[in-house]
Amino acid sequence: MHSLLLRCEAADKDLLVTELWERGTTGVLETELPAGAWELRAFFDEPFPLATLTGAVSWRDEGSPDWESGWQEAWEPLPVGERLLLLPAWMQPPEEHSERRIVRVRPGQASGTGYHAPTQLALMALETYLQEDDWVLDVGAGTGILLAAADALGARTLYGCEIDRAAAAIAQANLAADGIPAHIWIGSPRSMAAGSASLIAANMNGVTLDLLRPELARVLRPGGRLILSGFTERWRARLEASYTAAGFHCLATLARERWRALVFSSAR
Amino acid sequence: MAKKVQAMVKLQIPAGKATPAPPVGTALGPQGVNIMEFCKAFNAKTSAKDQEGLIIPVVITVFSDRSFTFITKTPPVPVLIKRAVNLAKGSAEPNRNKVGKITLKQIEEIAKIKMVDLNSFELEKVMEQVKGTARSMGVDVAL
Repeated sequence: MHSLLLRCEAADKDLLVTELWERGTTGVLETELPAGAWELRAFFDEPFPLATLTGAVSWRDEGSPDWESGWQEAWEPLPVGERLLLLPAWMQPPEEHSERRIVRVRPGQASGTGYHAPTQLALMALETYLQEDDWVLDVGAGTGILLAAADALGARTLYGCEIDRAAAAIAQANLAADGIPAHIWIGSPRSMAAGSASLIAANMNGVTLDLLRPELARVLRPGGRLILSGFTERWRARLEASYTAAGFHCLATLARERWRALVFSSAR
Repeated sequence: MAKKVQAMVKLQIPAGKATPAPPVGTALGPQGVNIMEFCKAFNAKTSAKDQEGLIIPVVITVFSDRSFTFITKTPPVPVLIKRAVNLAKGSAEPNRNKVGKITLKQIEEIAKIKMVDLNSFELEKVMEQVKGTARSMGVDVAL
């Protein structure tokens, strides 16, 4: 496989791309340059003379790597906190982490693979504040990774809600693939009875976490724990103030890079 | 879940025929994106009969946890013109050699398709753009 680098003005791009298709390209990668120019990289089985095409700059041999599974090389096992190990689904557990509890990762369209600081903070908070036999609710379940970690840490019952229909299906499938029983639904915590969760985890933006406060307060049992993650320092201060004013007691603040997480307990 | 954009990748690939080969593999592989899942989702979204044989621009947003989403756009105007007038190739000398003829009705249909991406509510303006592209391909506009 060979790739052809081309440069053109925005006004000429569509015609040039069409000509590339007429010449048999398998696809085109586009990059916008400053001042309305574009850089194109078009892929062909065999190169042809550069002079025959306006805007053509150079050829590159792309070789023939294993495109189907090559993307997996960007992934590796990731220890989180003291006890958890995020392990891509296609990998064998490494011996050096044999004492850690494994949480399988299946990358795809749903957010929450665990390879991003906010999810890691939520996982670390779960590790510290989850108690065995907890009834856990994950608000915005994404891939279901927090529920998988809660299961690995000894939670008794797992609930997850997700407003994105596709993500809810992915969470359900991921947990089922690991044999983890969980109740996932499309919607919000409003579907749960008052006081039905002893631990709630919510990894999402600060605005949504602030809006969800009354619902989370209703669903969390007296004395239960609440983990909020997915926001920066500016929102940490606002959320800490609003949840404290609502009767929650702040147990901890966690930080990684520019991200923050808060852990609260509800009034008994 | 909280999201942070790591990269935005713009590709043009055939409707319903994405494979892990370049450009998909080359563009998404180094980002750690699950390529088979992208291909499956893209092909499912673009496999309708009326999209057969078309080139689909797609913008893939890769997040810092390597999850992704994508949106598809409408095909380039020259591709739609070629389909409308059943043309294999545009003219190398559009001022001298005319290779086809397109009707105003066909121009209007293409303009209506493109209005979604151009974020325009003025059909006449978009039709003028389509006419210009047709002329630069050596396709006469029938009045």
